[in-house]
Amino acid sequence: MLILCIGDLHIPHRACDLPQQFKELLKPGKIHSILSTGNLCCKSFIDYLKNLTSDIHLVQGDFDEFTSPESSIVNLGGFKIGISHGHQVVPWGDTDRLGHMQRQMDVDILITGHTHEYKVTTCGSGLQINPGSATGAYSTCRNTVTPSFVLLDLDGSKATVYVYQLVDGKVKVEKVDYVKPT
Amino acid sequence: MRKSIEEDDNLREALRYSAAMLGELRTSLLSPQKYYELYMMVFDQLVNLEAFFSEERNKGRSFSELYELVQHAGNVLPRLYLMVAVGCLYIRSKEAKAKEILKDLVELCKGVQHPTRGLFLRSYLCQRSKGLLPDTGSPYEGNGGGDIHDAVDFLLSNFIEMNKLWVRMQHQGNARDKEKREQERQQLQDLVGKNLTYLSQLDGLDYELYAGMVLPRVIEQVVSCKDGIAQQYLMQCIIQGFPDAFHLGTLDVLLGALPELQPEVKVHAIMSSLMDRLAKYAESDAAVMQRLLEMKAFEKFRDSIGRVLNAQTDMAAADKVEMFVALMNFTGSVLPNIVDNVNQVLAAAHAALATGLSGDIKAEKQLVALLTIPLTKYDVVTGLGLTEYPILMGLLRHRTHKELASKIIHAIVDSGTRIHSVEKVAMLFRFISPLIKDVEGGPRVDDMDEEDIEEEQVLVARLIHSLFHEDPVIHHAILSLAKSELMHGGARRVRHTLPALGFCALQIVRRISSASKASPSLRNNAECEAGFGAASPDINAETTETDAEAVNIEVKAVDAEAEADVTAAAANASELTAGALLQWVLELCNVLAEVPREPMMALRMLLAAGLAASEEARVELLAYQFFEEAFTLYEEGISDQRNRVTALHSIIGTLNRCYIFGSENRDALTQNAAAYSSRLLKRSDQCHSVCECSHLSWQDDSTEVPGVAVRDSARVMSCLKRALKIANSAKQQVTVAARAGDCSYITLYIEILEHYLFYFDRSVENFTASVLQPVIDMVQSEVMLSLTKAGDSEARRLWSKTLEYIHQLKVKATGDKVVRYSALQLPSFQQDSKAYL
Repeated sequence: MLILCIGDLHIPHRACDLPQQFKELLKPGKIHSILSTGNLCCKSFIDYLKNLTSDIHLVQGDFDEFTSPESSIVNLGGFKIGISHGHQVVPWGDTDRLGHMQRQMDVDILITGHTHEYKVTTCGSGLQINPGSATGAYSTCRNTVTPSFVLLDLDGSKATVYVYQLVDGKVKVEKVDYVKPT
Repeated sequence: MRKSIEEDDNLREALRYSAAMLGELRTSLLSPQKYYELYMMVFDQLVNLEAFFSEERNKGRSFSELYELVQHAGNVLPRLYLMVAVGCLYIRSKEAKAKEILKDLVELCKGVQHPTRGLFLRSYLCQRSKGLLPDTGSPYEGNGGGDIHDAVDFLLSNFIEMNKLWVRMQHQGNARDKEKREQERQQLQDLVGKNLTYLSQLDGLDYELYAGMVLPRVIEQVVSCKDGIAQQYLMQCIIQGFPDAFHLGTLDVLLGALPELQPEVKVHAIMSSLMDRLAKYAESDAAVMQRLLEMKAFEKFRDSIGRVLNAQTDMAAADKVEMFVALMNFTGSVLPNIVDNVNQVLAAAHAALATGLSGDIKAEKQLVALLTIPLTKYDVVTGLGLTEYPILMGLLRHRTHKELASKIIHAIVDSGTRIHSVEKVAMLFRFISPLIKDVEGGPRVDDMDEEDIEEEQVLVARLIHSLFHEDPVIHHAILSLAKSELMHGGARRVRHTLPALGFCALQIVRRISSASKASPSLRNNAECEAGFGAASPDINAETTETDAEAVNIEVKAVDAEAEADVTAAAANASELTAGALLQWVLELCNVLAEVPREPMMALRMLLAAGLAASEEARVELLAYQFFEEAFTLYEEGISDQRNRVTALHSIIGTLNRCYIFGSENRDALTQNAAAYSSRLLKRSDQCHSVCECSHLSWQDDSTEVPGVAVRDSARVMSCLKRALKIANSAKQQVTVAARAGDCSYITLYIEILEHYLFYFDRSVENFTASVLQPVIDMVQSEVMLSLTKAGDSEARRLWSKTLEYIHQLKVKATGDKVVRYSALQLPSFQQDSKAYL
């Protein structure tokens, strides 16, 4: 089951559009669900996502122009997945603090954004994923931002994280494996 | 007749019958359509007759004899048909000179002056004589048979006579049937045109002959006949029938004829045909382009259009624009490098449409077509140089104007084009004016739907990212221009676009800051300002640990101004400091703060800019100002509780990342945050926020500048202790209210414990096992207690997970952590163990 994790695009405040190279990769029909970490920010981008699949889960980013829940928990492919934007967690992007959020939500995988930095870590027995910014939008925390998004492939008790990054105009893919502890 | 041919082989009889048959064509009763049907039937029969004649000749009878014989037919029309039939055979046999026979025939046909009959007769002549003309290289040339001149002469004469007949049809009959007559005439137009077609097909027709003899005579006939239908058709015939190479040379003649034509002639269609043909011709051959350039074809067309417009003052707007569309296409294909031509076309179009479109939909469609051509043929940046363009856009209806403006923005945004110069940006805003502000003829922004405004403004905001220049000074000038243009739009519009401006500015700040980091001389500037800021302003901060009193921050206005002076002085005339730019952003935030019901966006911008001021520009006082404004906005502008909670978190989160502040400024801000946290409405929010405030006193190491992170463990401790007190009150509240099942206060305790753990794990001073242990024990006992109340299990689940986590930390501990963790005694607690129940 393919799940798209994407966010922090900041259209139109900080970026003009999703990179063309990414648009070419994201075609309707292949993706089962979309988990958005927020800060899209305009409503019209939701329409673009709806075009890819109808199962979309949005959470509230601090710059979003529409209202959505602060956090969301979904059950997909046997995994319990939590989503939140991440600006609520101080210090921003801290693994332990995110771990606390993960324990509170009681989820196997926690997906957050806000830092515009792609990151995959484990905290305790849980997996934390940050898909980064899909447009490489300006971030107050980082000097350079590489556009990235994540595709999560869920299969039984195994989750494979594919990260797509745009480096020098080319798309690079890396992967990380995770197995849910019993 | 056929019988006499086939069976009797009797010439005389054949002739008699054929004459009778042809006599049918003498009728005046038939409409041209019907006459044509009759004519075709007769024509088929005449073919048989001609075959018969050929046979006769083989038997010995000469054509001259036959030619003589047929002239005995009684009536003119049959006689002439027969003469044409025989005459052509005569020529074909080469017994007679082509030139003579043809001349004879063309003259004799003058004997039939009735329009319809005459036209068909001459058409027959034209058809039958095809291929028999003394064209260059034809078998009938020379030896007295004539040459190309005679061939041309023949066709021209026939043409002229046919045209005269055709025009005369217009005046036959009464005025009531005029429309019907005109329709009938149009059905016959190809008969006349055939002559020109055959003329164009002559091998010997070279340019000299065409320009010298053919065209002048044809034009003369066209103009002098003073008939609209004929002129319309024949001009098109000429243009379509003769080679484009000829038109190149005779352009002046053709254009000269146009003003002389009747008013009802659609001159614009003729001009368009001509321009389109030449444009296509030029596309296929570069030498042609050169010639067109040399002979100033564009200027000629432009002037000709002008003359036509002068002559035909009540031409429909749509037709006028159509001419300009053709001219635009022409210059686009032929002279693409001369952009000024395009501008001239637009200017001329505007002059022609001085009275506006007056609601003409067709004209508007043509105008949109005209305006779209430059977008497709040229890149957008070049297109922005067309000064006449926006004026012409203004003639469109409001909705169409907006659509075109959107198209232009899309052209820029979708292609990734960047606009580099201030002048071009200024032009751009003129182009898209209906999207930026209220314009005449359009709805006022107050009446517009929120969704529509958002859709438009999101597009405009995206455009802002395409405005760019490497040099920060110019880039800033561009953004300033954009801002002043956008401000005309009013609050409902700018709330969507100002953030984009703000972030573009922050990106410039980053560029300036990283440049100055690389170059020491510039760094001194920044340090000067930072130094000035550190000579601390007079700040009064009163904070108490109880939540009753108001909090004041006073910053002497004097100091703020002084800092601005320094910034100005430090900045060269041509240099832009990060500080000055951040001041600009501050003003932007203030504008955003004025937008009713939307303080959160302004707050966020203030925080983002504050962080940039702190970490990138490293201007302490300015950074402080941003946070000060943020707190003010929080206090005065945000009343909704949920927003307050979120806003406070954002402030704390951002402040946690700022390393620039000296201890006095930092204390003021930290204590403010803590005070506001304590004053939130819900105890759980208070607790959460106060815990977060602890991180303001203990920062992770800065990646940029080592050693500046705040490490005040005493403050952290006091924060967490305060949080515990709040959690205690929450517990008390539950007890007092006798809400037995409410265990939410336990989650607060767990959260506080997690914070203790955070600092414990990082070996923060004073956070020893002996400090942590009591908290663990306390939570454990609370959880056990709650079991008896059979209430909410959420807290118990969380506790189980937390204990599991601490256990994992203990197991994974390395180095000196091992010792510390081993001092912790973890109770065991399994959420789902039935042992406790």
